[in-house]
Amino acid sequence: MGKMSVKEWADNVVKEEEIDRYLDNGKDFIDHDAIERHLEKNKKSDKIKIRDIIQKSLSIQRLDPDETASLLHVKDPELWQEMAAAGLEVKKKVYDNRIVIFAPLYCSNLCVNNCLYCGFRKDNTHEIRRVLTPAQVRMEAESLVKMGHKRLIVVYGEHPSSDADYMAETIRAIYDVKEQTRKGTGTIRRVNINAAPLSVDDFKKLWKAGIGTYQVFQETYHRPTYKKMHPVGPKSDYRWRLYTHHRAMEAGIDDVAIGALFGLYHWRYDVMGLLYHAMELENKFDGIGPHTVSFPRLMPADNAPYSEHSRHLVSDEEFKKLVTVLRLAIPYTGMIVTAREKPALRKDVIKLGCTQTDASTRIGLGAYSEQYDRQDKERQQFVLGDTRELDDVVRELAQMGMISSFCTAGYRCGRTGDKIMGLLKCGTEGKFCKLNAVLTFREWLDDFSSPETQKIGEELIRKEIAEIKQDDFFQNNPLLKEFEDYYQRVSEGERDLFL
Amino acid sequence: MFRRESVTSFYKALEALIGDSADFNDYTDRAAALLSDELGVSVTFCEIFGKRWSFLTGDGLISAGTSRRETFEAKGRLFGLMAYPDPGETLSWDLIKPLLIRGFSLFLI
Repeated sequence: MGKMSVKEWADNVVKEEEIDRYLDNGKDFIDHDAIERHLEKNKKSDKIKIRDIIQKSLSIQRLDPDETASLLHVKDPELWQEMAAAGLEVKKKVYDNRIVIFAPLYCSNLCVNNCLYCGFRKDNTHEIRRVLTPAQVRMEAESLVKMGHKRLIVVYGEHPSSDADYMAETIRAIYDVKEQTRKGTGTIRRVNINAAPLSVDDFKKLWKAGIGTYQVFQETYHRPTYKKMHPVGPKSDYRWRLYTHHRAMEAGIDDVAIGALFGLYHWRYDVMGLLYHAMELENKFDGIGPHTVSFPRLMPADNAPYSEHSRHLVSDEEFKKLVTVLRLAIPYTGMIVTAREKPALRKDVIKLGCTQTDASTRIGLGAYSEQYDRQDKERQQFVLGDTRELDDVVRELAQMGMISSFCTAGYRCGRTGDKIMGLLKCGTEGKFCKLNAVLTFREWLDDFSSPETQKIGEELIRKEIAEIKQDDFFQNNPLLKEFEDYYQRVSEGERDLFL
Repeated sequence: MFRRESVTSFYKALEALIGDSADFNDYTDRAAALLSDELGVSVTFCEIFGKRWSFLTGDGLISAGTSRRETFEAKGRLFGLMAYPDPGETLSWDLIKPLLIRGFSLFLI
């Protein structure tokens, strides 16, 4: 940052020319009036129309705004049940029954912004501020590898001390980690990043360091609420954030992830905002929509009163509805439910068609390697609803008939961006998902599981392999023989084989 | 098996691409196509960043399964070749590699 003060640095983050060039006739893609209009005119739909919309989603076509608004207004409980079942079916068609497992790693909590709902906001004097050194980040990653994690989402506050150069350094530090496991060697194979909007040049630095997915949430698409929640700092610029995925894509990062923080504004509005965001990415980038969609709910945060007193807080029932509609509206995308949610609700929501979840989650700075086991509000962005260990989560998923996947194959085979979008929409990627899920689950069971989880895991693997062998896709397909060969080798201790 | 009459003529064709190609993208597209056509396998070129293999060109993805993966460096950048299915003896990697490095290096700034 040279001789620049923190304030000067913050004042120079937003680059207007890196917003303006993506606008259409000076307008951004969130058309407030259109969203309100779609929501208003689709308040009443008959069952036939809703069932037609469900069928469209089941054919893995993205829904349009009118269709999505119609689903958002469904009142009939029976139809909600049908929609929930369809959501799970959509997910199985695209991703099979695997759930990708990841863990968050918080690297810094210094922040130049002052978001009213966030524990990291700069005016929160209760927060213990810290930026982990690359060596400390490495120690965190070592702890996570020892738990069995292969995929991380690494999180940074927006501050010159955690700029793009720092992020790139931490990515490299994490990829360097190698730990002995029971039968082999463990590494982090995919580093995804959750960070504040960057310029194209800064995104290129992350690209060269080997970033997986770039994730950032708009928080809310409703401009007046956004303005109120983000009073100062670079984050106060709605459009700088709105177009950050465009800049990431321009820099070559073709797996981007969107999300909204539900509870800031009305949930139906922000579901529509996410849909518009997905449509915009598809339109501007040759059909490449969001790699994943996240839908965190506002949670209590230390010294951030708005986090508990928003009048738009989302109930459990509303939460399930919004997840159901998102699943159907953007059928090809991955959907992430996190440990913000309590175990019982997370279990319910996974059954609505989620594809990824975290486990053994700690969101305090240094929390994995320093092993403080209670939630420490002064070191966290918000309070978690689920702090269960990875083994417990894997076991519960197995009991639900879902296989925990530690697969990171796609981005190590060139299957990103338009390549993976095509494979997702035709269902082919799901076949690879299933094979790679079994291979990585085999690794995980042998290297990390408890005896109890091992037992149920073995049953699940037998069932999965039987399904693979019966699947028409694999009949007379050399993939099956290759998979069997890989499975044998992984069982014997070889690691990181993927298709 | 090589579809040309000899290994030498295949190498000559790969070498000739250097003179015939307009730029890096054109060269990599044509080199991938040549490898696929002549060796009878699907080939994909990627650039490697960290652990990510970023797709550059080629037709190997749809038939993706177990791939033979080879890496090479050109102008300080790391590249990867994935060949599907494993071509075994037909991909004489040790002989192809220097030609690819030469071609990639010439077209990279």
